[in-house]
Amino acid sequence: MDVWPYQVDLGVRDFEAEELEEIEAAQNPTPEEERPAFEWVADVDAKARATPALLLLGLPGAGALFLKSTFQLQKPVARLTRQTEEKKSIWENQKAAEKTFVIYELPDDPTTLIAICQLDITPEQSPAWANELFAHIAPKTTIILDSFTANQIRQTNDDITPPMLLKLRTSAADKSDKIPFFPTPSLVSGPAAAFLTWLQVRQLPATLYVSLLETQMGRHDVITATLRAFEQLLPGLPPHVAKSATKPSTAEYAKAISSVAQKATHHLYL
Amino acid sequence: MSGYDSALTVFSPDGHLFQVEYALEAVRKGTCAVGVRGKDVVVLGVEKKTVAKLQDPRTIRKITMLDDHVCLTFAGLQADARVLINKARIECQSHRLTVEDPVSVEYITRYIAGVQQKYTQSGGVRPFGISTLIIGFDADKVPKLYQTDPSGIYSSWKAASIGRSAKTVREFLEKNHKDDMDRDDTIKLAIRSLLEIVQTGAKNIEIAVMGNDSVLRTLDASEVEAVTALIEKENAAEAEKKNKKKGDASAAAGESSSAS
Repeated sequence: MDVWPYQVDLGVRDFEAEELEEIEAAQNPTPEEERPAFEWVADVDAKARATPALLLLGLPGAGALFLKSTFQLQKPVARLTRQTEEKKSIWENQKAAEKTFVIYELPDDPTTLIAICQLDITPEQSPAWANELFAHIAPKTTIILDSFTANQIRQTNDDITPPMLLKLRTSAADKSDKIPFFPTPSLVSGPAAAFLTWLQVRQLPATLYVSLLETQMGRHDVITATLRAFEQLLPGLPPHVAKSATKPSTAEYAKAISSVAQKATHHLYL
Repeated sequence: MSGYDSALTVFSPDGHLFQVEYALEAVRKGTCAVGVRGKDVVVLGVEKKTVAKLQDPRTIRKITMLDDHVCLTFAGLQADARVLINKARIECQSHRLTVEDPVSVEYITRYIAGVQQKYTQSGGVRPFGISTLIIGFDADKVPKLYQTDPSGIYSSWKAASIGRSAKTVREFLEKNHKDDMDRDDTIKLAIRSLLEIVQTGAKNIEIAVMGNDSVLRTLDASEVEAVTALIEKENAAEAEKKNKKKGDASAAAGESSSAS
């Protein structure tokens, strides 16, 4: 059989090229333009703020909304951004302005930092964000607030509805609160898991609290009961932090939720 | 869910008509409307949507008359509301011609609900994506408030809400509604319930009041703002009273612990 000159069969997959791509992707999981960058706000004493006693981290959705509603967040001290801020259109610029990851200091309490994350961080990018945040801030204790859906819980057939608060913690965390654990074999994934894993690997005390979202028609929404579930952890906070927390009314929670809810942008509905 | 949600006339194995339930989702996209019944008055309050700069606001109406003595508001798809309102108006006039009497509020509500139900049981059509609140007075001079929804259900209410954040408003109404409220209290309750969810305040609230003379009167913006200012004053006084009570209670606790 004469097989020379060798002709490339264009119909066949190029396994070598695919393998090279996979190796490159594994070495650089986050594209350059997506990598986070930490920066302190001007005039902030970075050294004094870098080792807070407590970091409260609210992730997009219920966690961030609860912290924004409960605490007076007036003094930003740092923020994380994506490296490339250049956007293509006015629409993208406007959307980008709403998506921030800002770290605030409590009034009169530089030992407590509150981080509000409203960026959409994909699970693949989450480790990079965890690395960047904790490379600049080394809290003694971390509390992470996030949410979960009924689909994430593998348990009995009982319908579960908000309010419902569960937790996961690192081995070094304080064991005193009475909030039930997130049941095995259910999993938490995404940025919450990445941040908690980072802290667990380094044996630092941290607790992740997740509140149940309401599920309706296949959609998962934050409702006032979801936010109210987080109020259970306020008594467990240090006294000076709990004192700064307000207890918003149902109307205030509803206003906070509707301010971030997707608004119907067209005029079909009245 | 897949396979049973695209056809209207097909039940799912667990008894759902998904198109009807999806129509209820369309209702939730509309701005909130609330109805409150008092002793001899019935009030409709709606959250006004911001009108586009170049749009004529007179052509965007959320509160409409069906007949001289019956008024309707809706939440959901505007175009569906227009079609249903036209059908209802024709029925009102047809009834007057045939029976030589105006429709009762219950009759026209039943008619509207019947039309909505018909569109949940036919092929080639879809349900109306609106819920309605219907108010009016019959010859008995008793205020009436009815609600219909895309499934064709209708019922009478003392106070009801539809549209966006209706659940929050309904919970507020359940806590604060009293029977036999006078005109001012009924208007105040309607405005207070909308202020629970309307972020921008009085300027985005419209109130229509019908008394036992069956005349519908829309309050001016200044009247709504005056009531809103009164409500805010009452809320501030209430908050001050609560803080004072808390302060007295903690002072008393401090004294008793120092005495012991």
